Amino acid sequence: MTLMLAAFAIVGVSPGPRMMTDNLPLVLTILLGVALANLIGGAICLLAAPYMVKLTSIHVDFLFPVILVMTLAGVYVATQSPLNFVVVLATGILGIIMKVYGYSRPALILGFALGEMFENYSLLSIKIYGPLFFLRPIPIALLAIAIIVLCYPRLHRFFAGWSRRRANL
Amino acid sequence: MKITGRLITGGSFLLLGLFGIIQSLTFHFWESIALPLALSGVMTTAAAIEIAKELRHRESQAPGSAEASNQKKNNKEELERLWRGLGWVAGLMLAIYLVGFYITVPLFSLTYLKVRGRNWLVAIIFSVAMLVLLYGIFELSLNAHLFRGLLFGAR
Repeated sequence: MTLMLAAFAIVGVSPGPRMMTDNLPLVLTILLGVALANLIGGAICLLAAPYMVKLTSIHVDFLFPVILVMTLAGVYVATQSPLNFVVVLATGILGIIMKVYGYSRPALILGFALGEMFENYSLLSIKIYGPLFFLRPIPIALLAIAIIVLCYPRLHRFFAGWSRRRANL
Repeated sequence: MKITGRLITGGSFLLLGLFGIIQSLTFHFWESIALPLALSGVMTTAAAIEIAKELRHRESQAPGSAEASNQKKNNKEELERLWRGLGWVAGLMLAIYLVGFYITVPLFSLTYLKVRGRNWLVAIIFSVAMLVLLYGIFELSLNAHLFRGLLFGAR
C-alpha cells in the first residue's frame, strides 16, 4: 500500500476521493488490471504452485546480489547519475540504525511518500478554516480513530488486567 | 554514565526536533509556522520520552545480569552482520562508479558467492546469468544504458 501511494505521488496523482473524478481512466485501468491479475494469478497458482513454492527456498546468498544490483541499476536508470548511490547508502545506514533501535521503517516511507500532500492540504485547511480546522467533525472523528488505534495495545492490556483482577476477587 | 547507541539515536532525533522548532519560528506567517512547529514539537516530545525510557530501562536492568549480557551479545552479532552487508553495498557502489555495471556485476557476484563458500561452478554460472539478466532487462528490453564507469570515460 505504501509503495502504491508512493508511486501515485511520484506520477503526480493524488490518492483520495478526487481520484474518481480527476483520474477516472486510471482508476478503471487499475481495477481492470487487478481483476485480470487475479484471474491470471489464480490460473498460474493452480497450475504451478508446487514449483513456485521452491522459490521461497532460494538462499539469501543468491537473492542479495540480485536485489542489490537491480536496486542500483534502477536508481541509475531513474536519475542518470551514479552520485545518487550515496543517497542509497545513506538510506541504508539509516535503515540499519532504525532496525537496530526498533524504529518503524514503513512509517518513515509512508511519511516520506505522503509528506508533501500532507503539508499542502494542511496549509489549505488552515487557510480555509483557520487554526482550529481540526475541531470540525470529520477531523475530530479521524483524530479519535488515530488515538484509539495508537492507544489500543495499552487499553487492551489495562482491560485484560482489570478483568483478571475482578475474576480473582 | 555510558552513552549507548539508543541514547545517541534518541538524542539525534531530539536535536532534529529542536532544530525544526527553531527553524519554524523563523518563518514570517503563522500559517507557515503552525504545521512544522506542531510536527517538530511531537518529534521532540517523542524523542524525549524515548530517552527517558532508555534511562529508566538501564536503571532497572542490572549491568551484570544474564539477560543484559545476552541481549548485548545478540545486538552486537546482528549489528556486525548488518555492517558487513553494508560494506558489500558500499564496495559494489564504488566499483560501479569506477568501472561501470557490466564489469562490476559479474565480478561482484563471483566474489560474493566465493566468500560465502559456494563452489566455483555455481559462482561462475550465477555471475554470467547476472550479466545476461542485467543486459537483457536494461539494454535490450528497456533500451536504458547503464553507467560505464569513470575509468571508461563515462561522466
